[in-house]
Amino acid sequence: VIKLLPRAWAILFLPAAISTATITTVTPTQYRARIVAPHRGRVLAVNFWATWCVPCREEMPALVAAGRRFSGEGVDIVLVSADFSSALPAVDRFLRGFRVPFPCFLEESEDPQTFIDAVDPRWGGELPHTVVYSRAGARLISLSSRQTREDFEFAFRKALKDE
Amino acid sequence: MKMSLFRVLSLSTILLSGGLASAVVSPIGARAPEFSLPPASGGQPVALSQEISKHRLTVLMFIATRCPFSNAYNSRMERLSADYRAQNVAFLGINSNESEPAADVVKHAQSHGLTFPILKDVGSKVADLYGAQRTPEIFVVDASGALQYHGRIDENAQDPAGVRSPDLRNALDALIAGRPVPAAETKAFGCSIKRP
Repeated sequence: VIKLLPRAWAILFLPAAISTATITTVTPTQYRARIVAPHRGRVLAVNFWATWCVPCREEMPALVAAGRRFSGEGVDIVLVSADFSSALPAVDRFLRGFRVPFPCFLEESEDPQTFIDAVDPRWGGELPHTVVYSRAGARLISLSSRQTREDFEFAFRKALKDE
Repeated sequence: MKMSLFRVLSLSTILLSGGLASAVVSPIGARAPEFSLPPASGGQPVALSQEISKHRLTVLMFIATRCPFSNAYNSRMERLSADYRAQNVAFLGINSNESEPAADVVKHAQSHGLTFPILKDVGSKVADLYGAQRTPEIFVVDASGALQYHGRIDENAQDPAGVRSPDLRNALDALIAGRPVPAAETKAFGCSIKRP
C-alpha cells in the first residue's frame, strides 16, 4: 500500500498536470515560424487574449469546448497572451484554473504595433481576437470581440472546407 | 447555412481574406463623421461641428470604465488634456460600451479625477461611424473637420515613465506647428468595445 501511494497521488494530480499549458515568449519576427508553420496540414486557430480582458476570459470556455470537439477533425488551437510579462503567474493560474489544454505564448515586443502588424496589418489590436489559418497556413478568417462556441465551430467548419 | 452566416456576422466582426470587413475606419485626411452625443453626466448634447468650430484641434478618445488597459491611461489622458488646453485643443471622452451605463461613467470619472467631458454613446453608433474597435482609441480632428490622427496614446501601457513613442503628443505638436504628423496611424492592444 505504501509503495502504491505515490502512484495514487500522481493519478489524483494527473488531470491538472495534463491541463497545464506551457507558456513561452514569442516576438513579432518569430510569429510565423514558431506559431503558424508548425501546424501546416491542419487548420490552426490562434486566439489573442489577456487576463485583464474580461471578454477574453468569458469566451475561453467556448474556445476550449470548440477546440476539444474539432481536435479530432484536424483543428489545432494556440493562445497568444498580450499580458505584461509581470502577469505571467496570473496567466498560468488562469490557464490551470480553466484547464485550458492549448499551448500558450506570451507576446514580447518593444512596440505592440510590430506584433499586431506581424499577425495581420488589418487588425487594430482589440482583444479578444482569433485568426483562423487554412491547412496551407493562409490567414482565412479573423474573429474580433467575444465569440460563442457556435461562432468558433462555424469558423472551424468553414476553414476545414477550404481548399 | 445562410442563417448561421448571418448570426456570425451579426455577433462579431468577421474578416475573410476576400476582403469582407465590417469595421471601416475613415482614412487620414477624410472628413470626420459628424455626431451629437449627450454628456454622461447629463445636459445639452455636444456636437462635433460645434467643437471643431471653437477649437484648433479636437481629440476624440474612446474609453471605458472597466477596461484595465484604458484605465492605465486615465492620468495620461487627464495630463494631455491639461497640457494642451492653452493651445485650444479640446479633449472629449466617448464611452461606447453597452455594458457601462452613464451613471457608472460619471462615477468612474469622479473617482479617477477625469475633468474632460465624457459623452455616452448609447447603441455604440458613434463607434460604428468611426470604426472604433477598442479602448483606448484616439481620433484627432482639425478645425476644418479633417481626420488627422488615429490610433494610440503611446506604445507603453504598462509604464508611463518608459514611454518611447508618445504618438498622440507627437501628432498634436506637429499639427499645432503646421508640420506633417510623424505617424498618423498607430496601433496598440486594447479592450474590444462592447456593442449591443
